[in-house]
Order: sequence, then C-alpha cells, then structure tokens
Amino acid sequence: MEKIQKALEKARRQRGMGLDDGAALQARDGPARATCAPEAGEIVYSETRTIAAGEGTVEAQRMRAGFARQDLVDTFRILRTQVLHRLAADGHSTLAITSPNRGAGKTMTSVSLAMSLARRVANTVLLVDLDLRRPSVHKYFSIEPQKGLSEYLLNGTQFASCLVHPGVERLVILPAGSIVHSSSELLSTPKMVDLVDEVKGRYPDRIVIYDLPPLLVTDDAIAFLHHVDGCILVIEDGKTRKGDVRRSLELLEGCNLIGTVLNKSKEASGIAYY
Amino acid sequence: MTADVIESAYDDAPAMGVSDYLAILKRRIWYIIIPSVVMAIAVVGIALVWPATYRSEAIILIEQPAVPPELVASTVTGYAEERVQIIKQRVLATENLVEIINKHDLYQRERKFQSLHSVVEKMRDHISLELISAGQNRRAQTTIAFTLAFENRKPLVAQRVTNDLVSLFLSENLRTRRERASETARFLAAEAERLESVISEVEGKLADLKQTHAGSLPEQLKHNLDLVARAESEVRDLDQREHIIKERLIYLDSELVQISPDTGGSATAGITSPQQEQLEALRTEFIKASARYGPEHPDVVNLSRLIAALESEAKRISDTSREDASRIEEERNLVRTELAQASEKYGAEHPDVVELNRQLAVLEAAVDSSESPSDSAVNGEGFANRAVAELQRQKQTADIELNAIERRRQILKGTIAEYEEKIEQIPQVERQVRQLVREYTDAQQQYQNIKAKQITAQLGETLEDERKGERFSLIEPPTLPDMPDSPNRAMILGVGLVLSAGAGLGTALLREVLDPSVHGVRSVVLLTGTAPLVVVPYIQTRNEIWRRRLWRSAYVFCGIAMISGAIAFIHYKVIPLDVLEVRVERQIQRNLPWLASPLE
Repeated sequence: MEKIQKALEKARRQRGMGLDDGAALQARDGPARATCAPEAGEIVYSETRTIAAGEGTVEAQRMRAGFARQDLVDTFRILRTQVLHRLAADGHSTLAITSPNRGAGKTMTSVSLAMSLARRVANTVLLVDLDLRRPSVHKYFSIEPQKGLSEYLLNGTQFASCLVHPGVERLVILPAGSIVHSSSELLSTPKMVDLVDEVKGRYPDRIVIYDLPPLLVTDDAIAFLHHVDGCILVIEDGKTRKGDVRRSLELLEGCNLIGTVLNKSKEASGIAYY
Repeated sequence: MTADVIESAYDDAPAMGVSDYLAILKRRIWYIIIPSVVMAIAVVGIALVWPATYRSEAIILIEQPAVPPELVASTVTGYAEERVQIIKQRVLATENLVEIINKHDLYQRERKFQSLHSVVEKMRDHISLELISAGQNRRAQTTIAFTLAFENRKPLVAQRVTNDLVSLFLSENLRTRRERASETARFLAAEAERLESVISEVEGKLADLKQTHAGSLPEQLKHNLDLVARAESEVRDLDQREHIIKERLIYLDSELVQISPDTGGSATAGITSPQQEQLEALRTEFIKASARYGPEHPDVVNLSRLIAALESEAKRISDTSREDASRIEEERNLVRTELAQASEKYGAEHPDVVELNRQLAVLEAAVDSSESPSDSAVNGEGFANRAVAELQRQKQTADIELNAIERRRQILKGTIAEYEEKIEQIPQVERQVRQLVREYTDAQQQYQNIKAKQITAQLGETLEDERKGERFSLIEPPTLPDMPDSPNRAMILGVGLVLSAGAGLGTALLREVLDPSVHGVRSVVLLTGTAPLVVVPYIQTRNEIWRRRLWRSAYVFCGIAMISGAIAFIHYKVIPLDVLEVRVERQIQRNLPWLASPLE
C-alpha cells in the first residue's frame, strides 16, 4: 500500500495540479495548512490535506472492490455522462445526491460519481459532505476529519483549511467535520448560502457534488435542495419502499431531479434495461 | 417527474417479461421451497399413514308379489321407498346398534372417550343405504332394490356387521307386513261386530214402534178407512131408520088422537061401529103396509098383532062367556108368571119382558071388562082403551128402538172418532218407520261392505303368512372387501403434491404482493416514470463474501447436526430405525403398492 501511495504522490507532483484555493501540493500524510489566495489557472493542492487511498474502512474497501470491476467502472462512467449531459444542457454545475432512507448507498454513489468525474480532464470535482449528523464521505477515503464544514460554519475556520485532497487528481473533498445535530438550521444560515453561491461560480470547470442526508429522515436535504442545480435520487433495490420513493418524489417536486440510480441491484447485469 | 408522467408510466408500463418472473422466483425461492416441502412431507405422511376403511355391501331386491295384486290386494300399501326408509329407521334404532357394537366390540377407542350416544351416531354415519331405481323415464321411476353397506377398518368386521344389519332388515320387514295384515283383519272384525249390534238395535226400535202405534201403521190405512166407511154407512142407515121410526111415532100419535075422542060417544050401535071402523081401518093399513114392506116388517107385524088383538077382543065380546073370562084370567095369570120370570131373567127392558107386559096389560084389561060385561059401551070403551093401550105399547116399542138406535149410533160415532184419530197418526208413524227403515238399510249395507272387506283382509293375511306378497330378498350377500374403500391414496398424493406446489407458489405470491419495497428496474420505472440512470449491482467486499460463506456453512452444519440429533433421538428413544424402515415399507406396500414395486 505504501508503494501505491508513493506512486500516486509522485504522479501528482509530476503533473503539478492544485486546488482552487491556491494551496500548493503537499506530499505528506498529514492535513495541509491553509495559505494565501490561489493562483489562477493552476490548481495547486496547497491547502488541502492529502491522504492516500489506503486500506482502511469497509467503505473504502468496497469502493476499491467496486472499481476493481470493470463493469462498475463503466456503469459510473455512464452515470457521469448522463449527469454531465443534463447539467451542461442548462449550464448547471452543482449536483445533490440523496436517497429516501439511510443505507441506500448515496454516499457510495456520490463518491464513485465524484471519482469518475475527476477522471475527466476537462473538469474538477468538489465533493461536499452535507450529512452533518452522520458524515460518511471521509470514510471512503480513510480520512480522519479534524476540520470540515461544521468547523467552517461554526468556528469560522478558514475554508481552505477544511478542504481535503484525497490523492485523486482533480478531486477535492469538503468533509462534514464534527457531528452537528442541528444541521438543518446550520445549513440554512447565510454563511452556508454564501458558500454555496461562491463555490458554484468560482471555477467554471468545477462540478460540485453535495452528498445530502436522506430525504425522509431529516429536513436538511429539502431545505438545501433549492440551492443546487440538479439532484439524483438513489434507490436501493429490494429495500427502499415504494411509498418512500413516492414521497421522496413528491418532496422533490420543483427541484430538478435529473434521475434515479438503482443501487445494490440483485439483477445480474448493471445496465438498465426494460 | 410529475404525477402525470408517473401515471402514464403505469399505463404504458411494459408487461412483465420472463426475466421479471425469473427475478421474482429467485427472490422468493425460499418462500416457495419451504411451504411446498413441508406440505409435501405432510401429504406423503398422510397418504402413507391414513388408515384404510373397508366397505362391505349387500344388495337386497324388492321382489314383486307372487300373486298379482289384482287378484289379492295386499294390506301393505304405499311406495317401496317409504317402506324401506321406515324400516331403516327402525333397524338403525339405538338399541339395535348398541347390540351390534357390543357383539362385535366396535369403536373401542371411541367408546372410552365418548358417550354411547355419540358412538352410535358415528356408527350411523358409517352405515349407508342407497335405493336403486329403474323406470322408463325420469318420472316413472320405481325402487326395485337397495344396497346396505357398512364401513370399518377391518374388512371381516365390516362384512359381519353388514350381515347383521341385513338380517335385521329382512326380519323387520317381515314382521311389519304380518303385523299390518293382522291388524287390518282385527279392525274389520271389530267393525263388523259393531254394525251387527247397530242393526239389532234398529230392529228393536222398529218393533217397538209397530207395537206402540199398533193401529196407526201405514199398512193399516186401508183397513181403517174401510172400517170408518162402513161405520159411517151404518150410521147413515141408523139415521134413516130413526127417521122412519119417528114418522111412525107421529102416525101413532095421530091414531091415538083419533081413538080417544070416540070413548064416550054412541052406545049400542056404537059398540061395533067404532070398533069395526077401527078394525077396518087397521086392516086396510095392514094390507097397505104388508104390500109395501112385506110380512116381516115391524110395522106390518105390529099391525097384524094389533088386528089380531082387536079381533080377539071382538070375539071375546061376542062370546061374552065367563069361560072366556076365566080363560082370560087364567091366561092373565100365566102371563103374569111368565112376566115375573122373564123380568127376573132378562130385566125390564128386554123385548120379551116388554111383550109380556103388554100382553098382561091387555089381559088385565080383558079381565076387567069381563067383570063388568054389562056395558058394551064400556066394552067399547074398554076396547078403545085396549086400542089405545096397544098404540101406547107400540109407541113404547118405537121409543125403545129409538134409544137402541141412539146407543148404537153413539157407539159407532165413538168407533169412527177412534179410527179417524188412528188414521191421523199414520203419517207421523210412517215417517218414523221410514227413518228407522233407512237406518236399518244403511247399517245393513255397511255391514255387507265390511264383510266383503274382511274377506279381502283375510286373504291378505294369508298372503303375508305364506310370503307370497311383496318381499325383500337378498340377492347379493355382504361382500368381504379386499380393497379399501377409502382413502384414495393415489389421489391424496397427487392432489396433495399439487396443492403443496400451489401452497409454495401462493406463499411466494402473497409475499411478493405484500412486499412494499422496490424491486428492479421495473418498479423504478413505474414509480418515477423513467428508468433509472444506471443500475449499480451489489458490490461485496471480500470480507463480506467470506462472511457469507462462513454463515452458510454454519447453517448447513447446524442443520446436519439437528437432523442427526433427531434421527439419533428417534432411533434410541422412539423406535429403532431398522424397525421403522420395515414398517414404512410395509405401509407403502399396503397402501401405495404401485409405489412399492418400482422401489423394489
């Protein structure tokens, strides 16, 4: 694993990519330090912490297992294409991913989609973990989040220092940070709204993916959805109830639902067909 | 993703394809398997273990009478089915069945736990009686035979019990028929007796009536009428006679008047002339009367007597001899004596007595006149007195006769009234008589009727006694069944297995229908209106794969352990396995022989 880490770091250094906040790429394991404003054109991961995609959590394992299968890779490519297509048609760049209930695999989907998007050279991806009650994005990257969105919003921590570069090119993560239970109020503060607006318009090539908490469990998602351009509903095959799906669809009226993803399907092939 | 889109999705949704069904099958595989297997095991168990019942059947024919009913009518009437049913009720009475149960020791187990009554009921359920009909068309079906059957676990017992039932049936039928015939005969005999007494009673009444109204019987009407007519005519005669006599009296009165004024008149010359005038007149009268009436007629007789008296008077006068006078006196004494005798013998009113009185009077007068002969005028006077006396005498006679007539008439009138009353009563009596006669004839008729029926009934009785009437005969004795009647094991197996498959499928279907979760792309399409963007298969980590395998082997191991444990338990605690195997084989051999052969 150490070898892979090192190889990745090397490749990154060679390409010399960085993130929007102007932080230079730091080839270390620890969290990155925030520095001053970024330089235009160059994405330097100066502020972000860089963590290698190591052995670790189940989620991380799953992701690795998933991406080891070629058909899955293709699946997410298809998803990526569809999403980009829909977003581009309206000039959108922000996307929210949610599901009716927990455990449907929305974080997995958002992470996979983010990674798939990040493969494209034409754009960068910012993955924001908005599930402040049960943050899980960091687990997919084996990160121990010390600072994240909640610190930014509550403590006034600098934004750049909250971002994390997980060792995947063109992908930056904003973890949720500490667990906050009054998340819906937090997410509707002006500061959050400002952040969303700023993040949206900051880089034209950047796609922002928001990993929302489940629709029917909290009202965070509903409150927030109006701030994003598009939305994807993740449905778990065999578990999600039809009633929940219907209710979610009702709640999503007015939001631009791009489509649904049928996750954990027991059918053999991963490609949608009638 | 509006509601309209979703709705149209429902309408346009494609039919479920094979793959969809396969997916469902795969999903619910355990729902299918477990119920099916469980039920299948149960079914096989039932098919093997269910005890067989054997059915023994007997057929009884309802034979037509040997003597045709037109010749001898049977006393037993009604349809054969009714009779069979009635006899069935009698035969299956609780006491009969209890006897059979005790005799063959049936239903041991049930008798321990249930009341005798319910055991008897159970037995009744195992007895079946079916009528066999035949006929030209549906309507005119007659019962010609019936089957009697009994079911039991043991074939021999079934046969024996059926046999008992059959005997009971036949004997009961016989008894019923005989009883019926003799009852009929008895009844008719009693009726006949009753009618006999009625007849004699009416006869008695009729006789009484005839006696009570002896003269007023209808057949006596003519006689009574005749009698009345005769009496009436006699009354008429008497009336006529009375009329004559009354005329005579008038005449006599007139004569008297003529005579009386002549008593003091002429002297000597006048002696004979009035007397002779009178005599002449009387003679003329006599001639006239005798001419009219004949010599026997009372008037004529009186007249002749009168004439004779007067003539003898005259003669006596011409004689004027004392001898005559003494002779007259002698005669007078004689007459007196005669009179005394007669009046003693007959009474004062007797004609002889009257006659004697008259004679005596004449003679007394004659004696008187002879004692005083000097005066012819006196003689003449005496003569005139004698004529008067004679006339008076005749008047007396007439009066007496009138009285007699009156009396006779009264008697006749009484008779007439009596008989008229009798005649009046006749219609009433006639009515009574007629009624009694009617009663009598009625009773007679009935009696004749009953007598005729009695003969028929006695014939019927004889018919039954000799069993020449309709009878039940056993044409098929109770069979000894070699094949069980139930259960139909093949059918149980077949149907049961089909049912268990159905149960499995049904359970799966139920679960599927009740499942609220999303399954497959189809559900998503129906819900959202379009297919999902992508379908992501379930990604298992290596760990998960391992864990699953581990669990699965654990389940299998547990299962094996449990089954072995159960087998060991059965073997050591319940029944050794080899014995069980033999038993099962035997059961299969017995119950499912067609299964056993391929197994060998």
